[in-house]
Amino acid sequence: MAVTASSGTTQTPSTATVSRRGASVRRLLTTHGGSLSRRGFSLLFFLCLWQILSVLKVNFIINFQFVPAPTAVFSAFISFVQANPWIHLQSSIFRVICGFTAGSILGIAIGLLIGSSHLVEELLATPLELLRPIPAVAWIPLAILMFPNAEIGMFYITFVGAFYPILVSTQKSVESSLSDLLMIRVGQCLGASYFQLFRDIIIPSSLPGISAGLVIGMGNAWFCLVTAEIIAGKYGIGYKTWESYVISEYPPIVMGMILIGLLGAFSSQMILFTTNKMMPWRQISKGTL
Amino acid sequence: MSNLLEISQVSKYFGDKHTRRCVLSNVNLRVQPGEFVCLLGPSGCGKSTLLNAIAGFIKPESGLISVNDQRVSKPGPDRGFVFQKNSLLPWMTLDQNVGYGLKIQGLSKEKIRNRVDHFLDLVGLLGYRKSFPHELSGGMQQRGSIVRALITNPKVLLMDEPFGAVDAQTRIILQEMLLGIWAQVGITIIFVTHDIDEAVLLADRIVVMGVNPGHIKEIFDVSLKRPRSADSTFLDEFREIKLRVLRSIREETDKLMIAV
Ligand SMILES: Nc1ncnc2c1ncn2[C@@H]1O[C@H](COP(=O)(O)OP(=O)(O)OP(=O)(O)O)[C@@H](O)[C@H]1O
Ligand SMILES: [Mg+2]
Repeated sequence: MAVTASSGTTQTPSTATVSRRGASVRRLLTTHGGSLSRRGFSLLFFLCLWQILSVLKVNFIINFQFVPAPTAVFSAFISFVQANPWIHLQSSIFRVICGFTAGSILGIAIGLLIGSSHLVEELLATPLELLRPIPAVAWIPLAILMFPNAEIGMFYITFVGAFYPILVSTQKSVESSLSDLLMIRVGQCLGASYFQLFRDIIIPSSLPGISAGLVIGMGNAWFCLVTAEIIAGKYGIGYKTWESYVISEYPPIVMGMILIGLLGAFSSQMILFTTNKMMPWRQISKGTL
Repeated sequence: MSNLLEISQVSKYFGDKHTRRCVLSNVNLRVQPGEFVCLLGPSGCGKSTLLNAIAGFIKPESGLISVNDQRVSKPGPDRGFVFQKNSLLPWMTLDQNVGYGLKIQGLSKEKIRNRVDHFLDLVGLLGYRKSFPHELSGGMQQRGSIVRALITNPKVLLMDEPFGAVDAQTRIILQEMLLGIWAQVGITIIFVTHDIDEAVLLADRIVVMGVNPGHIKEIFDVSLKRPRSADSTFLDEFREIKLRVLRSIREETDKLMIAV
């Protein structure tokens, strides 16, 4: 913490002035209080760079001619907000929540089963593994054909996005919990049943891995939203983005991208926060590395 | 009096067809109720393997182990186990850890709480009931593991080098504490160690195991009067037993040196 306090008595005058001049920069780079300003500064720097590049229409390797400037994106955002944005937000958030919830429930349940039972693994793993690499876009035609309406098709595509990372990370973390013989033996010695071992030992020790899966799954659900909403009729942020592209209006595209990024990041943070609250026993100290 | 623990003709092999190795060969041992038995021997002689077989973690290829006339086939609450270290469940607070065995048995919250408090008090950890294991020192964690194993009233307590990972001063305190609890609860203890002083201080009988393959080499009766404390280690009788045990183990370690 108190790095600036070190510029003091034992130093020679010349080094003292140098270190005092450098102190504010150093504070920005090292202290905990500077963390927020560091983040803000980097964001501001990035936005300015973007503005300059698109105003100058730089065309060197990357072509900025058609990239809308932050100011244009901002005005697109203002007009989006003025024209009933809630209906778009609502439909997108609802789709993501549905897909993510179904993906978590099934991903965790199947992951726990596959991770702990050879039989279930043999029965389910192969078809699931074969379906896993299929990208969300490839599902669009089938999703349109398979489901009675577009809403369920979109729900399915966000579900697929959330499901796989949650499934795989649950399965892998259950397997690694099962390789920790000590903890399982502790339970067995006290007379724990299969169910109790699962509830009190295997699941808690798999929680960090499951939590990582949930965070990635939440991000993926947003990731797949644009794809899903290509099917959509009228509403949704992904739909809005796609529609703007079709009618060649560029600022709303970038606005849609940023909005999805923000919503995705925010909801992932919420998952992270909630799952961390469920694991009060962990102490993570990155500073000690 | 009938035996509490009976091990007869137990043999254990490890490895597959090509790497198959005999780790325990024809082990026989009888332990009386309330006895404190220490298993001693050079590293790799199969002390942990024997203890794991009694616990039911591993199955011997031949022979029979029974506790209280019940054949051992899997782990169970009649045999408490104290591991070398870090065996408290990290996601439970100390009182949840200690009370876990009672929770499994379906006792009421009220009863669990009373019993946990009583046992935590026994090892001086009452003030830490809501701490997570990572907030406790190694010695405190071991005290917690001991009462966690004791709280369900097992017939026998199996301990695998439980004080092996704590410093010498703490070890003496833990040893005296264990002797106190043992006298109070009247439980049978099988205690694995490689520390001869520790074995002589604690045990009624010291079982010295030999190598290649693991077997029981010699059994020493320790008739030092109880109650014992760290002071007992200065008695002539203590030194005399220690010397005899030391010679016996020495023969086995010498065998290992020649074999290598
Ligand atoms: N799971 C296993 N698979 C294969 N070999 C094993 C296994 N467990 C133990 N062994 C072998 O069995 C022998 C006895 O091991 P064990 O752990 O019982 O020794 P120990 O007397 O407890 O030694 P230490 O004092 O070092 O703890 C060793 O040679 C070891 O290599
Ligand atoms: Mg061992």
